[in-house]
Amino acid sequence: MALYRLLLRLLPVDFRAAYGEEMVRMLAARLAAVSGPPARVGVCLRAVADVLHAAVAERLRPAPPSSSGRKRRPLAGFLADLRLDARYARRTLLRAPSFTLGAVLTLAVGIGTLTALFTVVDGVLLRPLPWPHAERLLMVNSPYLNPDNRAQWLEDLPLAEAAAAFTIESGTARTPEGAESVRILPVGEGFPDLVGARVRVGRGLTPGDHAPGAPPVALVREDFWRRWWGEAPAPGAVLEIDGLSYDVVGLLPADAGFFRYRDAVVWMPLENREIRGLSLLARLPAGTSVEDARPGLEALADRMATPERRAFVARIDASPVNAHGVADAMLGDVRSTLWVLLGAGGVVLLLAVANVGSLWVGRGLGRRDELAVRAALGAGGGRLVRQLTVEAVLVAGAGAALGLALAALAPALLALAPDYLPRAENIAVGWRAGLFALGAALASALLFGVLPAWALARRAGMPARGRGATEGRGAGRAQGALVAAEVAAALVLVVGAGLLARTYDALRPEDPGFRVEDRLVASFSLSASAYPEPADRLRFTERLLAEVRARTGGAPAVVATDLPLTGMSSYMTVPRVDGESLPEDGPSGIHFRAVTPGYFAFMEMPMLLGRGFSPGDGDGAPLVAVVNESAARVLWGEGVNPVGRELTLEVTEERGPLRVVGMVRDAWILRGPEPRAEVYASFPQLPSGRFHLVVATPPAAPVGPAIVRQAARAADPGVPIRELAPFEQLVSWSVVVPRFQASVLGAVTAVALFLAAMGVFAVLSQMIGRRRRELGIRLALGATGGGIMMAVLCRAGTLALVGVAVGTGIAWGATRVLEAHLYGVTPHDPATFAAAALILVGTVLAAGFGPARRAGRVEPMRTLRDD
Amino acid sequence: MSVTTDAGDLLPLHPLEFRILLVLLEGASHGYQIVRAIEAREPAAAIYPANLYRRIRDLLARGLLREADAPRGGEDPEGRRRYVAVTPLGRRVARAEAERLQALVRDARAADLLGRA
Repeated sequence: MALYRLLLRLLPVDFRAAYGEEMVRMLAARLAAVSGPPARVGVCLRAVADVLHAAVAERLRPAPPSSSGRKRRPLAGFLADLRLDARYARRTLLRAPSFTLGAVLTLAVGIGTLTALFTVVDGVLLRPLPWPHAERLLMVNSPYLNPDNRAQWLEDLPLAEAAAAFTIESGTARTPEGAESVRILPVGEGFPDLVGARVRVGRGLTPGDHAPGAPPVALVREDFWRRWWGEAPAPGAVLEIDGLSYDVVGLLPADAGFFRYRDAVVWMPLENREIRGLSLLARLPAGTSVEDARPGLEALADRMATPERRAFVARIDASPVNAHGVADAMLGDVRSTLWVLLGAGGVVLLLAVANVGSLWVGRGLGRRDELAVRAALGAGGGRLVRQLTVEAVLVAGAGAALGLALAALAPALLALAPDYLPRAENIAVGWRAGLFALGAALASALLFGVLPAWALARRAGMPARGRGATEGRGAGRAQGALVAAEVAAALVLVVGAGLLARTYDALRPEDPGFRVEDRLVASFSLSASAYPEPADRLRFTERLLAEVRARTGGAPAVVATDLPLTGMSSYMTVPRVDGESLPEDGPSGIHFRAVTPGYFAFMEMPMLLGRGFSPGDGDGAPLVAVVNESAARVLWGEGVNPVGRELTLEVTEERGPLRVVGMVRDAWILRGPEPRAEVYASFPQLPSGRFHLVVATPPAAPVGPAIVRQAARAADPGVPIRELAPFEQLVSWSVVVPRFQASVLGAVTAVALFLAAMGVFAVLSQMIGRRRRELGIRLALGATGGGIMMAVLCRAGTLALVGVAVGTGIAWGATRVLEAHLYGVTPHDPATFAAAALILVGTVLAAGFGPARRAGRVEPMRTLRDD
Repeated sequence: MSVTTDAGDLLPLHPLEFRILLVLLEGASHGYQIVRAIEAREPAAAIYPANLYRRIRDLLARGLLREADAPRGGEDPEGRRRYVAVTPLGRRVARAEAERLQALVRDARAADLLGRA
């Protein structure tokens, strides 16, 4: 608030006098109306932008006619002086081009880094979510919620002002060119209103559409419709999804969407589709929070629980109800990461400012004579400060312009983490980033230019000092402190980046236990209408494999329901092992996948005991299974041969147990500390409509996506490929988050280290330049060049050690913010801390080596003669 | 000066000015009340103090608004808030602006910009 008052001084005094208090009160009311730091920062930023805009508009406004008789606005005189200052500043700066260029580039790096990170934070976190009253929208999930009891849930939902059910599904839409896999948002009554989706063409969903037995209708997103059909749908237009025809009654705008489901191009009444799970979306009344609703929700979940369901929930240790604000659910994971990165960006800018500031002070000391002359000629202290300020602002402005260009590369950061950041489409360098860069530039100019300018101008009136032989202590000490501070700041970042890098390393198994190279994965979802029976699904996969073989000259290919390390894994309970139930404290379930014969050889997973699946393990043959080492250990105990044992899975309860025919070596299927227990079944015995086709694509062979597409089309043109990607790319999904964190913080840290090294180099160079006389005299008196060099390096080393000590203390406390993101390493990992200290001391000594050597080579006679 | 002012001379109004007038047609208010009223009608609008008061000041200078007393028994017993109300001229100008906008919308509809209504 005090800052805001200060900012209001930019406005004309009469305007401020009339409305200043009102404005402060209004902003306070606004701040009180939002909660959470991000929202507050958003309000503050917008308030600042508002004042700046008003201030500029006011200054440009022609004077109102009523005040025409007044004296010339003081502003005009001020502007004229400012123009003079600017011209003079430009000349001064151009006279020292290397100094100016260095300062501008340094600031560009600092401002560019911070602005790039701000752009990401702004796009993802600060901009309001695009749904009305998004801050009051609550998403509710519960294992006790199902399509049959949702009406009761909606009726009894505590606190809710409005509520609707929804879910997300995938389906196959028929298009003029065959079929396309689409995401579908089946919604309950009122959902489109709740998320502010307005139909652009046609009509919205009516209560009649939700009535049981009503003809099936759908809303289609404009972009999807136009891609295939061009025109707006004529009355009676029909879209076929999974073999069912839906009347297209309206088009939704291309930006309609909810939560992370931006790709849902078809919305339809829940009642039109057979759905598995569902969630509720509720709007809370103003002034209430999720926490207010939670007790009521828990009570409601308890009322809706059936005994069987309750037992299941207890077994898998699920919570009875989950309720999250939409923003939390969407942004919760990335919030702390992004704020940490923004903080790191702030550190980088501070380093840049410290560097430029130390150069500025050094240069200011050199300009003492000039300033003294100008003061003697009648320049007031204020005028001198303004002159120096204008110089600083010019340099910072140039740095900001260049930095903004650097920040425009920010969206490239996202290539590191596709799909990780929600709302990534909002990340772009626009006027907000520009304003931010400008603010950063002004703040920097204040720090590196204006504060030193005050100090200089105060002394400018004093007579120039006599030419002493040794340097003044004050400046040297200030610069030394600056170097130590830079080392400390850089150390904090190096430690943080180091911890995240070790996390990434720990999470990436060196050998996942299967082959990922040279493999192409195509994912399919067969619709239940076209492929109702397991036998139909099996026939499709057999046709598909045959087509692939025919087109590739026999390239190996397999089919599996889930693939390891792709983020998806079916988990199910094991009702019986060798005819008996598992003990209470036993495993709650096991990871399961069905694979075609040849899978283990194809994946290069060695069989340890028994055999893999063979073509004989088909439909009708006895049910068989292969377990991995972990499963054998969990189900039967260490060292027990599982071959010949039996187990019953949730999905085979009606068909009897599977007999174990082999044991395969463990492989990583989900990221984590160790492999999980897994059981494999023969795909022909348990065929699924959702599966992946994996084809070997050795570098020499011409097997590519096009051939796989052709094969799929030949197998059935009505079945789309849901996703087609190299296996390696799918597997990297499991480390996308730590990789993003480690690489972005690593890059920021590299910039910080570079700036710190530059700072050390510049400070030592300047110091030696100023001490040439002193060094010359010492050398003339018998000091050796080596001794002087050692003395300079010692000084650099001492500063580095002080910085390391301070930085270690700060990092010790600061790494706590990373704790939630670390894995396999503690926030106070001694090795990381030690390595970081070594890196910094090494950097400082390396940066100091050049200046130190020059100090040792000062020629005494020449320096003395120069005077 | 308002004696000779014709409502048409003051058009078009800045959108924010028009919104302020619309709110004040319902009675005198102070700044934050105006903001809340606008934002209640149009949740996407985000109105911040400096520009709001610039517009209010200009509307006062042009005679479309006048300073008003706080309503008795209102939320501001000490009378620290500055209330404003619409003048008859302001009412005429707002009507003229609305008619101007209506004509524009009619044209837009004729050009099939808004689809079937």
